Amino acid sequence: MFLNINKIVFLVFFLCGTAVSAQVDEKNIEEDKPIKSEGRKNDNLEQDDHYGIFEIGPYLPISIGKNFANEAQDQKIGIQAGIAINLFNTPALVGLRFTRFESDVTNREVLGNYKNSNVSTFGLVLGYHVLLEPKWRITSSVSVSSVTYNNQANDFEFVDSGTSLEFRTSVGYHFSKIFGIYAAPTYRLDFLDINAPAQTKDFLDSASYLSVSFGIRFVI
Amino acid sequence: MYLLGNTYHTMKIIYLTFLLCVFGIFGCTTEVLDNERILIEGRVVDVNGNGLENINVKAETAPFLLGEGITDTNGNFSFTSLKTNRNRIIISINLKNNQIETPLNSIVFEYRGLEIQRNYELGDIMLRDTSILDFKIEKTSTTENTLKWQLVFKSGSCERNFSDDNIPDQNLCYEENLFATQNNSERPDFEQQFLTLKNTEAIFTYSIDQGAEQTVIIPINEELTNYVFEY
Repeated sequence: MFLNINKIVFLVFFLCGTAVSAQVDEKNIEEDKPIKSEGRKNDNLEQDDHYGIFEIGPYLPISIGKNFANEAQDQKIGIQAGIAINLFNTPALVGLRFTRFESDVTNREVLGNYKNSNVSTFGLVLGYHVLLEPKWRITSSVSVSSVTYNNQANDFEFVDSGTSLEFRTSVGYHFSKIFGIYAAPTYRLDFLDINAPAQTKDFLDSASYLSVSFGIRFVI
Repeated sequence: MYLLGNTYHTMKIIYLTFLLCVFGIFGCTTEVLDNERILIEGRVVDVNGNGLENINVKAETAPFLLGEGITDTNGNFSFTSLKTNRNRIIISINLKNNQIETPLNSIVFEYRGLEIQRNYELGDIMLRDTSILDFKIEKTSTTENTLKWQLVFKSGSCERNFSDDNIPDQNLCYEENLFATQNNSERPDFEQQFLTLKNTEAIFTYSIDQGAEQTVIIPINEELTNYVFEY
């Protein structure tokens, strides 16, 4: 719980920092005119000459709820990368996303005798892209991924696997036409398929996270 | 013809060796299973039925420790264990590295040959007070004697083996142990510590130079009982 508060404080500072940085740089961008903005309407993506968005950056998972991830594991900062392309010249996007982070086991009595998990997801993304103005863009997306918890003890390894569902809104600020930064709060649900007694099945079978990812994005 | 037969024989040996290697490497490997958990629950009590706190409980399938728990203030424990591809699991209560160091005994439940269940409800498990019998034989006479002796005492350990159902088919709990040997001029003295149950008796029977058998009852009432026999 203490660690989660730390993560939330870190997140707030990061978002504030990003917003301030964006405002400071705004003037320079307008002077340099690196973004083609003439004739662009805020809601008209047909005039936006990009086909794909590539994002990569740190991923900060913040576990929530009554489940094993929140009550028996401690998540570390990981990485998220994704690529999405415009679907038939519409604001709709389709793509792939990869996420990976590590969790330390803090309560082995409820999870079993292993020390940490490398959690990774890889799956399909469906999204919608909105341009507020030339520099600010919002992308809302839903992704369905396969999720694996690669669990490690001192002398053995095993895997818990299932499906992950992610609802994500990415706010991007562009310094130039192709380069920008983003921050993306995410609500994530992992549904695992663990054979366990009824008393513990619900606790072990799902994990939920209110995560945030941030980093750099390239538009091509 | 002879050569063909010989080649066939050699091929057969190579094939069998290959099979043995494959089964040797992969067939006997213990692996922790993916997406599997079991739950182990119970209560640890003393001889009066009172819950015992801070008693460790472990689940193992050699060579892996799969789960571990500790009893609460009421003696209850409940912990999640991993599961292996072996139909064997050992649940040990109050098992320590050195059995001699604990005043309470340990109990081991071994399930083998059964499909591993999802939930092991072990019920009330009674631990008993153990005692160390520090047993010594010292030769004090100068004459050459042969001392034949035996010591019978209650074992402080308890092991229950299950192979078909939840009724133990082997209940090796607090068995009577017998230790017998002889001492003579080549090996005049003896000393060993035995783990036994507190509030029991050990029976020491001896004869010197094939004389009449004598019996000594040794009461075990303390955590450490010292007994020295001189001849």
